[in-house]
Amino acid sequence: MDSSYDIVVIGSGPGGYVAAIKGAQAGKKVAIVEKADLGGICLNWGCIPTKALLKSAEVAYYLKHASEYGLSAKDVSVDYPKVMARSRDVAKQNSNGVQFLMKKNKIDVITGTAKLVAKGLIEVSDAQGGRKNLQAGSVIVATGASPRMFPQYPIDGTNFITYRHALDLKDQPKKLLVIGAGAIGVEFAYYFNTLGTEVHLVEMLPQLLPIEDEEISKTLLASFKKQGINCYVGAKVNEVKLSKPGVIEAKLADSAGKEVALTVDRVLVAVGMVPNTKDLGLEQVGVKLDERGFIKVDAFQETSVKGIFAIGDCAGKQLLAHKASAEGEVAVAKILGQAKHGLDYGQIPGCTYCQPQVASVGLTEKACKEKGLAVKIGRFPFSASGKARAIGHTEGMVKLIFGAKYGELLGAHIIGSEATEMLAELGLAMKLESTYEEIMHSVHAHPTLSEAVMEAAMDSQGKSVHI
Amino acid sequence: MPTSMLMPSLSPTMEEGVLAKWLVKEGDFIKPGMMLCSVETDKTTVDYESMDEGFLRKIVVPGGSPAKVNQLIAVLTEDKNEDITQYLEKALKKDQEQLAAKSGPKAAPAPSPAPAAASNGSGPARAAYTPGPAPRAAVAVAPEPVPASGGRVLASPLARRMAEDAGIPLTGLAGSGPNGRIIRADVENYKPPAAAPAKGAKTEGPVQRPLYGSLAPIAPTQDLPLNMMRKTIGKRLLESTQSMPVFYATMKVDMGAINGLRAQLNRAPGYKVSVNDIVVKATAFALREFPQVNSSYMGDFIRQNANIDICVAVSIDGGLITPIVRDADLKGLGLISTEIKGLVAKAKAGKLAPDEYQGGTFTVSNLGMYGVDEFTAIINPPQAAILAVGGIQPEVYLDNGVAKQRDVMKMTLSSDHRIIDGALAAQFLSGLKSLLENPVWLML
Repeated sequence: MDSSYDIVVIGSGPGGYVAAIKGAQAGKKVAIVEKADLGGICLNWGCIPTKALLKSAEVAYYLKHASEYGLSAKDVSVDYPKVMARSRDVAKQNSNGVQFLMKKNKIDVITGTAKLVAKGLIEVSDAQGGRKNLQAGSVIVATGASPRMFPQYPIDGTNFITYRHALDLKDQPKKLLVIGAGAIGVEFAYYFNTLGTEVHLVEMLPQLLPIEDEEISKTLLASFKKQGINCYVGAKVNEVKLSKPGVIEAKLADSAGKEVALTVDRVLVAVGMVPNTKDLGLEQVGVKLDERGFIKVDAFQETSVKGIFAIGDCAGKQLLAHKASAEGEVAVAKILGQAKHGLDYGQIPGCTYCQPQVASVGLTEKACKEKGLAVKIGRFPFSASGKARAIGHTEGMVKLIFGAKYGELLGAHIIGSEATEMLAELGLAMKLESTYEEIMHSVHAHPTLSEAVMEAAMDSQGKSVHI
Repeated sequence: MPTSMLMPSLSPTMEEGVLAKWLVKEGDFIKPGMMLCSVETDKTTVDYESMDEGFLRKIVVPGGSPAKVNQLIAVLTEDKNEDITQYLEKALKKDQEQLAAKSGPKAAPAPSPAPAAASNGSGPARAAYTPGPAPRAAVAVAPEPVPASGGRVLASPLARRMAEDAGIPLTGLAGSGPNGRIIRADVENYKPPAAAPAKGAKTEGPVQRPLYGSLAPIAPTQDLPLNMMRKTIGKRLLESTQSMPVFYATMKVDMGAINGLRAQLNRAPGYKVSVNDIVVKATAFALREFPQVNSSYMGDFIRQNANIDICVAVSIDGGLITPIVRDADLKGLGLISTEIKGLVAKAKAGKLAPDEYQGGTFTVSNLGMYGVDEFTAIINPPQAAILAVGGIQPEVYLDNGVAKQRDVMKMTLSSDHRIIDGALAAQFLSGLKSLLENPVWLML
């Protein structure tokens, strides 16, 4: 095999493999280096397998609440290994899908760990100790990120775990402490609670999902409490101690400073991510990192070294799969000399797949206030939606924030069943620079949950029909 | 059951097209999606696809003939041998009636409301004049005026709103979105035309520094970038001079009566009527008398406009713009004066809305205030003429052999000879002259 390529992509997550395909589609000779499974964290240990687990939890919820729908379900129990097996199988199928896409696009998949030796030279060493050199016209670094480690939480994979271990647990925890209420913490808290684990969710900042709109997070907090999740926001973890295997003593200080003592059998640590930028040879070839270790890039994802690009989690900003893919497209366009615009990071949607789901794009109400923007806000609660009542999910709302002067969509926030699917039209609206008028005058099918989007746009002008 | 096949409207502005060629013949069985005929519009030639099914029984408009939009062009039937005589007669009669209704009052210069077909461009049918600002269509749905290059202006809803609010013409913006779509950033990054060198002279009076014999360093040769406005002005005016045969006719007006009238008018509290206001009013009056001058050359026909919308040339930083006094013939001098003042202020501030400067049926350009005696102006197509007005100058004339002094003003009409002949221009000018010399007629 000739080892000279137009583009070598390091890492095959949703950033890397999309970039590789885009490059190959443009007629470039492309190789992708992966040390583990194709598809990266997203497909194998993140987005996709967690959604499989969450679906199991949702089915469990329906079975438990079958009587509300006029059905009875007896002797419902969780077969934990089978829940896990389903999730792993889904991940495997997706990874195979990427394998197929690489083959279809004639992309060479090289298994091993990559290291930049020089600007256009990459050394790949495989698990068997084999080495090979790849020459690359351009390099795209897409190595992702890993859970941040803290000395006070000694991750051992059995007592102290990260999302990675949680996706491969042999047994279901009975009592679980989740530290960190970002998307990962919140999703696992919902998942384990719905399957019957006693869950304690602690967040240092004053709200669940700290990057989401305050009002939305409050709605989520109320719902989580109703579901029986013990939530502590604005709280501190003062001490966690492994007294013996399977027994962890934790001392929290709640928002009022009151001490809460807990005994749990598992601690899931979900407090931030760090970029995978070590041991890649980046600094040696002159690629600059920021103080937190993320690779510094320009608007077109190019690093401080011409011809070396970085995309996805390792390049900072939002750590989201779709943002990585979009950056991959930008980087390839730049390599092809076709790039016109970089990504607009103000228009990256964010989704959390607990129930009720949380989805948003654009600015929160608070961020608008901090920017001094005059806004008009429209809300529509699902309790006023016929479809929501019919499907038994009346929790949540659509909240849309428009500029007061021109009526442009500044932020869209949805909490409720299917919120993550409903968000797409608002991302499009924002991209097209739509105003409330286009949204409220787009006829939405009845009955759908999405009607709430149209109603919220109307409400921003005090013209909602159904509230 | 026979069905009518009608002339399609292939663009929003299409009123008539030429059915260039039939691609099927009588007796053929037509299926939806089949190419029926090619239709020539003012812009292009398009193949017209059938949406109906049936036997093509009768071609009403043969290949090579013009047809109005929605005119019957052919008849289809379900049954191959069905009798269509009666149906055809009825349909043809209906067509005739419609055509007659459309073209009837078009030619008459009656002040009564004319039907939409005869009104100017895509605007609504002319209605009786009501004071106050005309209602403006919502920006989001209003079709953008077609720029000189043709085609629709692509712009995001937000960009449209922002541009309207800031008075930036969308046609003057370069879009950076997909396919040149104008987006928010383009409006935000819009730089108003740079201050022209003339600015100093205009606002601060005569230049004070010594022009000659000075040792002050001379500015080096500079290559100044063309802003969008200069580009548009250049393009449109070049197009104008290259595309039409123009002739000029000048006439002298005795301004004695106007001077007297102005003195009286301006004693009315709150009014300051300018000579130009009176010229606009009188021009509108004269255009009503000579509708041929209030026309547009449309390629294969001449449109005689029902509305008299007079553009007033205003010099602004970096260029010029021609805001419009709509229905100037229906407005009193006071209203015209107030409107022009408002439009000029808005124009100088760059805050004109597109409907305040797009359209118009005739233009008045006045350089009298700069001390110009007389000049010729370039016609703003598709208008047929433009009036260039010079300044008021005293002159000595002979009255029965006695030398006397009077104030005169020279005005020059540039006319598109394809529409306006010399005699017509002369008649129009002399009608206008009479009005200006007898301004009391304007009260009629």
